[in-house]
Amino acid sequence: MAKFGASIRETRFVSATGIAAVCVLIGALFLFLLPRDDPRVMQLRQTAFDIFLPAIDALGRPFIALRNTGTQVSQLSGLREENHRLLAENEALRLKINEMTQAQFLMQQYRALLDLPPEPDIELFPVRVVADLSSPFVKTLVTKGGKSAGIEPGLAVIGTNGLIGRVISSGLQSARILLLTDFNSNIPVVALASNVQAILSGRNNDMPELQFVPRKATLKDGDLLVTSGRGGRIPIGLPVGILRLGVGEPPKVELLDDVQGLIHVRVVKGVAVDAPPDIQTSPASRKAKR
Amino acid sequence: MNPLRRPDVRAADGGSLWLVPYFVLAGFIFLDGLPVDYQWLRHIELGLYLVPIFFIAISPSERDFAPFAIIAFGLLNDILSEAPIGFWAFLFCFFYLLAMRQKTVLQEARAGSVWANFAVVCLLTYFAGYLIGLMRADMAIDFWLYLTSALLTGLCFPLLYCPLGWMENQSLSDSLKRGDE
Repeated sequence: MAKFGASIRETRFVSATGIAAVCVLIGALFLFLLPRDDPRVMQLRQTAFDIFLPAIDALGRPFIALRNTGTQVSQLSGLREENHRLLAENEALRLKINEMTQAQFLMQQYRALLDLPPEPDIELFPVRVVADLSSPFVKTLVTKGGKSAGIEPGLAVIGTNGLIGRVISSGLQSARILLLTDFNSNIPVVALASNVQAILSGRNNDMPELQFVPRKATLKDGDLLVTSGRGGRIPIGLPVGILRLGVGEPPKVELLDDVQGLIHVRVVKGVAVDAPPDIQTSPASRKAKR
Repeated sequence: MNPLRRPDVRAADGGSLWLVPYFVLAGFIFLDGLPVDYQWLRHIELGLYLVPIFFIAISPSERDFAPFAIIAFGLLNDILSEAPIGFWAFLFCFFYLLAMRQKTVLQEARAGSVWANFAVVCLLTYFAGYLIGLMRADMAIDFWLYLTSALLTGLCFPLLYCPLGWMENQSLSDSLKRGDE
C-alpha cells in the first residue's frame, strides 16, 4: 500500500491503486477537455521540440548511421547496373536541359510581350529531419533548424522529386512540417494537361485526394499535378504528384516523393525581387502609363 | 536465476538502478519518431514503452510517485508524438493500473505467465486506444494494424524485460551480499 508522508506510524490516505486511478482520470480529462488545435498546445509542442531536440538528435544518430550503412551495403551489389542506369539518365537529362534552355528563352520573350512582373526567385534551405511523427493522429516531420535558419511557418518543403508539405511552426532550433498526407493538409494544385484547379487534401494515408474539382472538369489519369500558387505562400509550379482515377471514388494522387523515411528535405523560400523601373505591376499604374 | 521472476525484496537498497526503467521509457519516447524506411514498420505503432511501465508497475519496491511519473511521461509522449494531449497519458496510466493489479499474482509466476499477462494487458490497452480513436474525429486508427502492433509489442516483451529483470536481480543480490557481510 502506498503512503503519503513519511511518519513512524503508517498513515495511508490513498492506496497505490487509488493514485493510479486518479492519474487515469487526469489523463482522460486532458484528452477530452483540451482541444488539439489549441494555439497554446501548438506552442507547447514547438517549445518541447526546441528543448528536447538535442536529446532526440543524439539518440537517433547511431540508428541513422546504421541505416545509412545498411543502405550502402545493400547498394554495393547493384553498383554496376546503377552506374549504367545513371549514365542513361544523365544523357536524357542533357537533352532535357537543351529543351529547357529553349523554353526559358521563349518564356522570357512571352513575359516581355505580356508585360508581366518578374517572378520571385526561389531559395532552397536544406534541413535534416530528426523525427518522423507518422501516426494515426498526425503526419508531420520535425527538422533541425528553425527561425535561426530562416525557416518560417507557411513555407513549402520539397523532397527529392517534388512537394512534400509545408512548415506549420518554427522555433529557435526546430521546425514542424505538415506532410501532404496529413488530414489537415490542403494545398491548391493544378492538373497540367487538363488545366483543372483543385485542392489536394491529405487523408492520413499514402495517397491524398483531390477535392473541390469543378463539376464540368475532365481529369486525365496520369496527369501531373503542380502547385497553382493560389494563396501566396507556396510558389507556383512545384511538382506534387500523379493523378490516379478510380471508379466510384474521389480522384487520388500518387505523390512524387515518398514522404516517409526522409532524412533530408529542402525548405522553399520565395525571394521577392524588385520590379525593374520600366515594369509597372499594379493595374492602376498600368492605366496611368497608358 | 529466472530473470522474469521478481524477488520479493524491497529494492530501496538497490542504489539508483531503480531509475533505469524510467530512463529506458524516456529513451523509447525520444526514439519513437526515428525516421525509418521499412515499408512494413511504417504503419505499426510499436508500444515498446509499455515494457518499462510494466516493469515499474509490478516492481516489488513500491514508489508513490510512480503513477505521477508515468502520467508525466505520457504527457511528454503526447507532446512529442503530436498525439492529442492526454491520449498517451491516459493509456500509460490505464496500462499501469491494470499491470499493478497483477503484482501479487506475478510475484511467484513463471516466465510464460508474466509474458502472457503482459500480452493481455497490452491488448486491452491498445483496444482502449482504438476506442478513443473511434470517439475522436481527428484520429484514424486501423483496427487490424493496431491489433498487429499490440501482438508485436507482446512479442518484443522478453527482449526488453529480461535485461531489466536481470539487472534488478543483480543489484539486489549485491546489496544482500553487502548486508550479510
